[in-house]
Amino acid sequence: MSIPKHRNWMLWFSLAALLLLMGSPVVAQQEVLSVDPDLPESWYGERPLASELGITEFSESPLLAERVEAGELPPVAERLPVDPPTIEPLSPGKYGGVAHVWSSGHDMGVDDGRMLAGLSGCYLLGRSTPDGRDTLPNLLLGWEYSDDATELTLFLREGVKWSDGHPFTTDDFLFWWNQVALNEDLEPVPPEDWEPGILEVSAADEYTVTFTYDRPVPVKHLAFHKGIGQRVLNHPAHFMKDYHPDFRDLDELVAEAEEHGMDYWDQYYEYMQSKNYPERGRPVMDPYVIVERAPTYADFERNPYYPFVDDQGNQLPYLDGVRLNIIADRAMKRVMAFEGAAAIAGPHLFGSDIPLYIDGEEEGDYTTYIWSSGKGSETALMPNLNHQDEAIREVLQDVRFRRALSVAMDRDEINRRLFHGMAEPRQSSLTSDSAYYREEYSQAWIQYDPELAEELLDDMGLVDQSGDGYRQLPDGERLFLEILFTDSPATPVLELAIEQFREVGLDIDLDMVSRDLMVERRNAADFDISEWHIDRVTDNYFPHDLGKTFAPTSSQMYSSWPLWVSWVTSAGRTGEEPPDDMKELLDWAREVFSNPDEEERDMYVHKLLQAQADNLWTIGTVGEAPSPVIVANNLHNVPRHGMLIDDVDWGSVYFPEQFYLDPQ
Amino acid sequence: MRQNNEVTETSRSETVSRTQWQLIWRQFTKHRLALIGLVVLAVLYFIGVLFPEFFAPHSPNERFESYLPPQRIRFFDADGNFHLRPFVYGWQEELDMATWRTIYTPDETEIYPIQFFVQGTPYRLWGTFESGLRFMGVEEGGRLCLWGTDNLGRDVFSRTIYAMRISLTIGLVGVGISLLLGLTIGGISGLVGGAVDNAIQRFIEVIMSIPTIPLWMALAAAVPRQWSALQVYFAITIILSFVGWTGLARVVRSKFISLREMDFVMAAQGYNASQTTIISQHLVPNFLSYVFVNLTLAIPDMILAETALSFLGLGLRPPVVSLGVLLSRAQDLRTVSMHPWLLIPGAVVVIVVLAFNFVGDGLRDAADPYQLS
Amino acid sequence: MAVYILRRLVYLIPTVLLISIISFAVINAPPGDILSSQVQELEQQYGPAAQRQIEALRTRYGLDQPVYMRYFPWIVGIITRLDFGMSFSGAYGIEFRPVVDILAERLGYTVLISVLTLGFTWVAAIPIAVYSAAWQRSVFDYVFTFIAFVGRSMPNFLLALLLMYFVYTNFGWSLGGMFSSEYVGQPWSWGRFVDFLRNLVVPVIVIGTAGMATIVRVLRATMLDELGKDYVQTARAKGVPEWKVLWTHPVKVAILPIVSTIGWMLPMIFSGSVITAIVLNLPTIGLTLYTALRAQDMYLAGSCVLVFSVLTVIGTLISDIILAKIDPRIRYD
Repeated sequence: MSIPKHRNWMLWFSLAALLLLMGSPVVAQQEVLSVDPDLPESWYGERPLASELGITEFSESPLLAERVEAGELPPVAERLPVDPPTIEPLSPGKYGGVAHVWSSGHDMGVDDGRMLAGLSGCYLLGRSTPDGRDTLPNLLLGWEYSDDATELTLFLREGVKWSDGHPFTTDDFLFWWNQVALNEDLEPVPPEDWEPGILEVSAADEYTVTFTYDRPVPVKHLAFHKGIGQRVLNHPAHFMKDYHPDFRDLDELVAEAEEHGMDYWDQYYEYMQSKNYPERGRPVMDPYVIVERAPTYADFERNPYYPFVDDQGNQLPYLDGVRLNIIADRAMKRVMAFEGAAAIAGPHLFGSDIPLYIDGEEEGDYTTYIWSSGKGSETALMPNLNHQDEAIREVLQDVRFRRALSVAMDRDEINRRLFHGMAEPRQSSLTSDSAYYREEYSQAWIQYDPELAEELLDDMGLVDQSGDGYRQLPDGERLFLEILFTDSPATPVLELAIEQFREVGLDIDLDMVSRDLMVERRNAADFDISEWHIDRVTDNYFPHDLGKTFAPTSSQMYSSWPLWVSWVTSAGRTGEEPPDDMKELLDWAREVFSNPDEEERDMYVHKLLQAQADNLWTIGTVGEAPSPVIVANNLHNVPRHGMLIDDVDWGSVYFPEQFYLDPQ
Repeated sequence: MRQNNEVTETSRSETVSRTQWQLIWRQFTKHRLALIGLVVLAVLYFIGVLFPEFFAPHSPNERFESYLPPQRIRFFDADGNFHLRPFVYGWQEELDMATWRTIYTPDETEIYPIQFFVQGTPYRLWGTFESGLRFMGVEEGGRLCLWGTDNLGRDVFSRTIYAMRISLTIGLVGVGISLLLGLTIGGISGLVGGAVDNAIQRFIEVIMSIPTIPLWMALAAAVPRQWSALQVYFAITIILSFVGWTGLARVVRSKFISLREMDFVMAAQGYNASQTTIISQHLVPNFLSYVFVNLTLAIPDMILAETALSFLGLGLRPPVVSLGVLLSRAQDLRTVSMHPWLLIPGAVVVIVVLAFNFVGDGLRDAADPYQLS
Repeated sequence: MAVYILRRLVYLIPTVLLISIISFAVINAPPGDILSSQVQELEQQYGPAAQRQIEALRTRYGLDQPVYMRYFPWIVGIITRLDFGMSFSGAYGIEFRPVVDILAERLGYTVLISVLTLGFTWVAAIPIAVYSAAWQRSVFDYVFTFIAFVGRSMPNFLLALLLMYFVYTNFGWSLGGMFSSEYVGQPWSWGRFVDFLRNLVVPVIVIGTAGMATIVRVLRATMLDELGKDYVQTARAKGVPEWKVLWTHPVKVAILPIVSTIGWMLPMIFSGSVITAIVLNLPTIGLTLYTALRAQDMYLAGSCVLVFSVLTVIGTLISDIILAKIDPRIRYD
């Protein structure tokens, strides 16, 4: 450590003094909380129905009222479902206004558009609770598992409509399954490979659809939430039928495709299916519909058929529209947030820029909310357990080496220099909001103890034989490792970490590559150590997704074991067969995924977490870091605290429908 | 042309070139900006390329407080006393939680005199000689961070000095290759003429009208991925030179054409001098000065290209320390508004490029004041 | 003259074809294609089946064809139907869009900004050069030359960033993009026009300064040459005012060679516009090219390069014709 002890001490002293002086309200604002304690109770439960709240009259935005008057739209009561679900606003909202956000695409589902709309798919089956612990019915009325968990029945709300007014029914499910998922032109890879186990999709009536599986699928929420949910909503049956050969003459369709410059009907189908072009007119279920598209912006207008109302019977959303300003480089988004040009900005802003944003608050007329990143670790190291060089593989597979790496890192220094001291030094594990959280997982091997690291390395026979200051392999060969990563806010963390590794005599360097090259090399196990952040560790995701982080079930970006994953997912055709301890992990993961008994499932979750804490398959640094969310002073009902992460759909769980702008 | 002709009409080519160089030098010294540029370059190459380890007070990866602002070198202390030996103050730091900023104020009770030729962090000069001798430094416990520190607390001044070694040398090879290509192809074009000349000229036109960015991006992606960052960049500069030779080729060609018609060449042909003799004895010395000018003007382009590549994320990458790398880490709003000292390496780029340009300009004027482009 | 223009036009065809071949080859040189940049998104959707999905999509979009099999239909489409092929890239995932639509949206602004930059460079460079030539080695000669050179020496992105911040803090102009957000998508009005001009200031200065030094240098040298001639001395001896001496003939002669600089100015402006457009978020073809190259959206990227190159070739041609027209010394061969 280059900073003298007394300075460090002074820093903490002044920090403590400041905290005392400033009193609690200011301090509360700066705590990094992942859940706002002031959220209404109803946000944690199922959507109350209008009838339960005694709402009989519905009202709507003046913008739509005008159109109803002009005869362009049916009255609001006819547009809403029979008994619309309600959302309690943080404070009573007002209609009107267009919120500006910055995005790299003409799509509400990417970048900052998500802060206002969320991913469209998440509305289908359910929406996560604000703490990320559970998924509750949202657009659906509910669901039911059969006793053996092989049948899942979904209940649709009656009278929910697409943005063109056409009813949303089980027809849409059947169309997606029979005409899309099972169509070899549209889905060349059969659904068995990406949504395994579905035998049949059947509809008892317009509002009841049943998925029959060949195995128990007790924790399937998320498959619907993100997976099938999103897929079904992307194929409104009544609209897409016009571009599908099951309902049209194939030759005619191909001729039409060729007219548009495409070779075959499937490309044309996909072309029409994109919802980001107003002229193509594809209906959506989202709160906003695209009405204009230009190179530099996209204008969205409220969906007149959006099925939710507030607790007074006012149709949501409150905002009349959203303007996406298109940027090519995300640096521009940070500039615009600083200038106060965005109603809300969050994704891709850097925690290290918080002082900049606070500095620009007055000029830009916004407030900097401090949310939590919601990540188990902002930066995690994944040693390649399938390394192709035998000597290196032996080193990386040795738990002593991984522990040495972990304790060689001074997480406090990382935290202080790069996270304003406000992040959480922690091991790669679940966030503290999780029901499975235990300190012994998040604190395992995170102490800064270079002597222990040296001891562990000496013990492995990795000593400096040549006297160049770096350790060699036992046979005297050079021990040189590179961390494979792609440019991100993690870069400075890694730069600091390798310095700390050098201090214990490890010659580790950085190898920055583009993202697709990183994926390619990772899949080929062509790296020493790779880097990625640990997300998807809220309960909303974790039981379903856990394999990706803590057992070799699926590749994705978290991967210390690409070849074992390959072996598992290809049923042994490619990759390498995992050793027995890995097969044990896989067994546990399978139990978590399919055991109908909840208690037993939880037991296996803890087994996996304990194995990670002991073995450090991935090595964490700091997590749950402060993440700035820039909120314009005229935008209301945004929670002061939250998680800014995919797990909670980038804030869409905070009911962006109830955000509202000051009337102009 | 007049001057050159007068000179070249004297006898042997060696004498010719020597007198020509002398003449150029005399002209050059009259160009004040060019002279200053030359001195600046000499100093920077001496410090940054030959002895960065000696001149940098710290090694590039030593860590101090993060975002320490530049220190002022003082001669007067808080009480107004004059110190013959310049000194810097120590620092007090304070974390302001309302703004999330660490505020550093000079601690007037801690005085660190700047010492010269001190023992500092040990290093290996040119990777071989072990030493710890540094040009300047302060006592243990103090820090000498004249241009402040970056996010990891590394001294910007020292890093900039280290960065010059790579930034000021890496373009040289590329420039050399484009020189070779330009000379050969331009020479062939000018000497042979006719259909060959025409074809080469069309080809040059094609190359010149393709924007460089896609070439950079594509080539950067096509380089074998096992290569280290430094190798990749080295490869890119070489590839860049395959694009950069066109300008020189055109100059060389026109030079050949105009020289071909000139009296002394005609005369040489007249008494049956061979083709090679004419080229080596008469033509080459005659435009060597142009080659030299072109060289001095191509190097700064390479340096600028390095920063542009770093900006696009295609150039050198940390932990390599180059001016482009230092700048690519500093190209955001936060730096401009809160830590502007991180942009000082940018000023160094400007100074180096300026100096090269002035030198090149002076050389051009000196070599032939009537040459236009 | 007409024969000269005609011949140049004929030369143009193989030149442009050659450019299209080289640029298409260059763009397709890096390993991978548009789908490899979508791997991560596809993995989220398809899990372990992502690789096979990619293979299938590759076949469907014809990406498994060899380069020449993709080049020929593309170039034939352009020549016969002005069909530049399909762009594949959405922000996330595959999205189809005719390339020609994207280019059409951005061509106007690109040409505008290039022409303005050319204009700015000349308008700023001519007085400086004339002044420095007339008062050679004066203080102002040094100062102006110095400023022109600093512009050339400053990395484009750095200058853009600094100017952007300077303009925001000192004038409060919101930057980035063609318009401030309140004018985006609005009908034209005086306020919108002013806003539009404001947003052009920084990019034009940033791109323009890069070429200014060279123009100043060329112009100054010609002026010096011209000022040394007998007729100037005669005019001076006759007592003609200095400004008249300068502006009547020498300047006119000296400006001629600048016309020929279009040939190298245009590619420089286009390259400069890519970097500046990234910093300032300008909807130019340069920016499209950058994003397309990153996403390896080959038809879009290829078309952008082609457009740039054709613009350059045409610019050069026009400058040559102008030069030939006004300078009798040029031979038409």
